[in-house]
Amino acid sequence: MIDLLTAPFRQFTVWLLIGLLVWVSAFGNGFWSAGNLQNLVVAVSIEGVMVVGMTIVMIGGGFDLSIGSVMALAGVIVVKSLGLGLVPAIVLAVAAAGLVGLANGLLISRLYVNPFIATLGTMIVVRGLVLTWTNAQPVSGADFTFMNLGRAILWGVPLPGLFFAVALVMGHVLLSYHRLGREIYALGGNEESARSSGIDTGRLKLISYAICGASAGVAGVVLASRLNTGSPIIGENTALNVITAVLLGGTSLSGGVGTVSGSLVGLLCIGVLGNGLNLFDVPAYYQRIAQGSLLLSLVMLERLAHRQAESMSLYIRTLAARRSRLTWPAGWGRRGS
Amino acid sequence: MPSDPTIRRRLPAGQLTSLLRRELVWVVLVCAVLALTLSSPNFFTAGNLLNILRQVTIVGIVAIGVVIVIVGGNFDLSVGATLTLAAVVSVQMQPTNTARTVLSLAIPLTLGVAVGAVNGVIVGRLRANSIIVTVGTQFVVTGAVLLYVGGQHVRVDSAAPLYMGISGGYLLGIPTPIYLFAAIVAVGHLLMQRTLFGRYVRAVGGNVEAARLLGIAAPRIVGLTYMLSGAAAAMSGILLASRVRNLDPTVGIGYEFSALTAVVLGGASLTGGRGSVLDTLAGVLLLGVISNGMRLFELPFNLQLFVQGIILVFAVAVDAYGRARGRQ
Repeated sequence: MIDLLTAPFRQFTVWLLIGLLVWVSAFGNGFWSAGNLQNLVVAVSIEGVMVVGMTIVMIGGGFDLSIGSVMALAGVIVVKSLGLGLVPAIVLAVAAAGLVGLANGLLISRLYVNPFIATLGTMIVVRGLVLTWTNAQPVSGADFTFMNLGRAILWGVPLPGLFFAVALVMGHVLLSYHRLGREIYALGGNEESARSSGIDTGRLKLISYAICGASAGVAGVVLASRLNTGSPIIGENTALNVITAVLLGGTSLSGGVGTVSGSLVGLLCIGVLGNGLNLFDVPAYYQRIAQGSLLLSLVMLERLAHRQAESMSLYIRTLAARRSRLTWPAGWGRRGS
Repeated sequence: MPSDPTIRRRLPAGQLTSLLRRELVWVVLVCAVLALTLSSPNFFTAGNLLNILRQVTIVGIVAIGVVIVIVGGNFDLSVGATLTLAAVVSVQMQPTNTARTVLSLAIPLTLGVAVGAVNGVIVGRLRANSIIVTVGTQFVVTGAVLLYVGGQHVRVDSAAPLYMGISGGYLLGIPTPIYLFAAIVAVGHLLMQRTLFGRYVRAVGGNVEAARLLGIAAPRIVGLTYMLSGAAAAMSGILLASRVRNLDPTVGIGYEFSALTAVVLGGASLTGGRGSVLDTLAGVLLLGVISNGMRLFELPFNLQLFVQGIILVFAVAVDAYGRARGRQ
């Protein structure tokens, strides 16, 4: 049944992406030029790394609002600790971000706090911490190698794009081929039955939030190196943007459903839309409106499809029920359909 | 939580403890006020207390709207954007005389209700997830406001006395916004506790299927909660506009989270069905008292954000942990 409902949603997004690509190719001057494609890759990569982490958390039925603040924290830490050397600074920043994720996981799995509120709390705490620490002033770095992390181009691909690609592959492998991934789907699908079948759900939540925090850490490091600055105020809108991309990609807010590749399609929709509007010199304000309308119309389409499915004849419904009964034990990866 | 009273009755502690637990936010508020009174001579003065009250009105009115939506089982993350919309439109109407002042009150309010109605239709009728929907309307409204003013500040120079009086007037030595806030709290409380509407909202938030089977028109109730929340956010926007009169079009960012913090401190259940306007008032006052105390001790504003977050996490963790233990 779940597959039946979300399949149209995912298809909408794929068709949307194709439509957007046709639109920019037909009317946008120089969309396919190397320079513009590199811009597009950089634009989606930094949020893209977080999209992978967020997909994992959301498939597990969770939610993370704190990634924007965590990204700012990681950026400030890495720039401030460049004196220790490049690698230790990066490790420190990503580890700190992972720790914030772990704290989210602890609040949610051990104290049973609603994920929305727990991560809202850490979002405010971390933001306050970063702002107090830096006195709300940006911190500039002065390390050429560090700057290259965000700006260098390797084999024609900007380095952030390669980081994003690595994150995508890791996320996909984790979710589709690793035991943890199967357990995360089970957790998001039905927490009680996951627990009864012997899955340590608390530990699983800790891991997934830590991964999501660390992914925000990586994004923060890359962004800081690109700007050559650790800014304490960046990332105010990041969480909502990332969540939008994940939702467009067909991940359900109630968990159990979603794929990394779907999230990639969702992210590309937003990226291509923004890039296209830029090419047409449309003011940036329209981008926000377009993104919001996209989200609203897709949600409405999905709900209308759901309604239709609900009002379908008894025959279809029993068919669906039988189908879900048949595939449920074997259909962990949902590749059976 | 419908199971809470039974858990409480089983507690070995007496009635006083149970009362303290139920009114935890008020207890914490009184403790905070006592602590600040003892540690600073400037805190418990009429001037400072009125100052706190006046400062919390804007987020307070938003929070009253938000708690109604949350009791109905939904979220409203679009209130910050609605507040901005109302504030900007109110100033753009250039309320330089009485007739224009009426417009700059009526049009933003209408727009606020309209945004709420859009949320309400999509969430109520289509039963879409309220977080996604209200984030979507937040994006659309924020973008539309920026587009409307071209990203520039808006200002009104010689505003009519009536318009300025909305936030700047005094009656019996008390600033007018406080009366407005008190009136909204009273109306909200009566609406939620004494009317059929309030009972329906709690029923829908508690169990939407059961409410439907009882013959309650759930979509209409959900829609109404969103329209109330939109109207409240718009009122806050008008108040803000009448006080500042020179607005950045991103002024309302983050109000949705402050309001949500107050609502959660007030003990509302995020899954719906449980929550009170008066406790939300206590949450709002607690946030106001804390930030005022920090200002009295000249702590930086950014640290206030940090402390606010810690309080939120702590409050929620204590509440959630207590309930989880009760369940076991």
